[in-house]
Amino acid sequence: MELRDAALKGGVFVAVFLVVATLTGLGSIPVPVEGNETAPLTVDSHQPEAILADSSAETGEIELDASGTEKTVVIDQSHNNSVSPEEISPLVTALTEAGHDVQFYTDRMASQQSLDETLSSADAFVVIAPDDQYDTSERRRIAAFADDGGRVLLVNEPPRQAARGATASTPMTNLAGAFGLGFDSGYLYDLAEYDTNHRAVYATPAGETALTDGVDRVTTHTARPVVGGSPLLVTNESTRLSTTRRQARYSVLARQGNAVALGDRSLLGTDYAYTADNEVLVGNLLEFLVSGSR
Amino acid sequence: MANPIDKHVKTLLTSYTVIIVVALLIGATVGPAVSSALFQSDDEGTIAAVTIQGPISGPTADEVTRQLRTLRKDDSIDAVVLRIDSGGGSVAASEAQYRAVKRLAREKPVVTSVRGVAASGAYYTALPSDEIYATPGGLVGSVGVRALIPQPDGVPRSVTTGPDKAGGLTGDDIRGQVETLKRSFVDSVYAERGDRLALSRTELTNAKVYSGAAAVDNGLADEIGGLETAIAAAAEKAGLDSYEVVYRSTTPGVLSLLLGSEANSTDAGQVDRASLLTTRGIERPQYLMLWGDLNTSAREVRASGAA
Repeated sequence: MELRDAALKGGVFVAVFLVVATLTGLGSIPVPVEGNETAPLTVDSHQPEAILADSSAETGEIELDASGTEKTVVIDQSHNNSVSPEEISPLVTALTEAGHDVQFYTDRMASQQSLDETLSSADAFVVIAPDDQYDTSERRRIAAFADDGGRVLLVNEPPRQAARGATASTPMTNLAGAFGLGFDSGYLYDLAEYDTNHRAVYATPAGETALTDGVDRVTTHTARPVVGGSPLLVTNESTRLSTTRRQARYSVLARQGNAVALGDRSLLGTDYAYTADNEVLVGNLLEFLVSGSR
Repeated sequence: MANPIDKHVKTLLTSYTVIIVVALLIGATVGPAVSSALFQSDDEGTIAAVTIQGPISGPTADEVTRQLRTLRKDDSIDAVVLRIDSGGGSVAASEAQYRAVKRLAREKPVVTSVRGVAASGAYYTALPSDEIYATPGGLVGSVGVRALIPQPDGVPRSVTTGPDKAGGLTGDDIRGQVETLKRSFVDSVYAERGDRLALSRTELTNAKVYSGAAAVDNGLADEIGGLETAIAAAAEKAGLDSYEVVYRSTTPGVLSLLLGSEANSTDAGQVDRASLLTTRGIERPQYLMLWGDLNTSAREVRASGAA
């Protein structure tokens, strides 16, 4: 009986085996192959010497003449500005080391002291990538501050991709417009000549000015074109704007009277402040801030 | 008296269920070999059509490499057609697939048929083919690399033996690595298709995806045609007048699925995107040759205009 049972089970095994083996005849199970020798494969485009990229050196110091009188630089944080002291630490450190006073005009300060009062005791006003609009009275006050010899630095950056529908009409536009300046939409890139990444675009002085003194070439990172004013730094001809793909020399730094517009916030942060001649430019911008006539 | 455990084991081993399952497994394993030996006629050639689809990750690249190695060593296979439908995946896995195809193409004619998409890492895979066929609506290109970077702040939580142990890649490091990988990809495109390409290096590094029609026009692909056209082209290259086609899948086999292998199915719908991009609980930079928007909180660095 046991023998018969075993034979039956053996028969079932063989039957199932044959059916499955037949059905999977064209399946993906490996066919045993002979010979394991494989000639070496050399791919030139995989060799380190052909492809390794170096990023540019970060050297130098931000220099700011400390011999002048103490000035007060106010950095706005009350318009949802995407800036924190850590993000612009090279700027803050250089100013304070040179003996100047740096104040962050926070929401809390704004609830206690109006912009008008704050500016009346300030020498320079820095606006970095605001998310909220400046209302008419604020714009007038900031323009009057510049007319009165105060220095204004407007720094913008492109919105991240998540913020779809963002256009050139950002909260900075109205304020910059008060000085005849503006920021284009999108970001700049260059696929022909760049500093390690296509968004790290080179810019060179458009002429000899105090703001570009000593600057040979700066590296901007995901910069936004500046429109209006006198262009001080322009990109290479091979630069393109992400939104239009138009190839042109774009201005990334421009001046109009006592107001300067910079299309790249990264220049003020630790990651890019010391790349190429960026530290020289940042030093010049700080010199501009503390050399007003107030 | 017999041990009750032994008795249970004996009962289990002689049950019909176990016998059928074992027969299924063994049958599935030896079936292809037997059929290939029995039904292979000597007077005609054989072309293998290998499907490569879905996100490219380590396990899928392993499977592709294994399959292509088998085909390379199998003397009964005269030419191979890659049937590609993928938007790419990890850089390392894409490089592995590229190298596997390159090895194969050294020994046998290889023709690619773009089934839907051959973008980024999948296009990299197709590069060493002798010819790339695409239908007008197929999508080809996206020659570029991207990196997803977690952004931990401050001092690493764990005790480390060096500053770079926990992560340690600076922005400059990441951008340098992405640029290195992009150069490798772009140089490979030029090495494989240089004389056929009508795109400048700048145009190529825009990382645009082109329709099949545009890709044939700009040299990213060779001819308009579907799978049958690609098979006929492969046969011609192998000098075959008559041939049969065997179809191979690069999805994991029955055994690896039953044994709980971690190999992901290459079916896009079944691949957990998180497993492609991350290891749970560990945050690392991810280098990708992948086309398409990624919905992720990690910061991203790209090496091309529109990757």
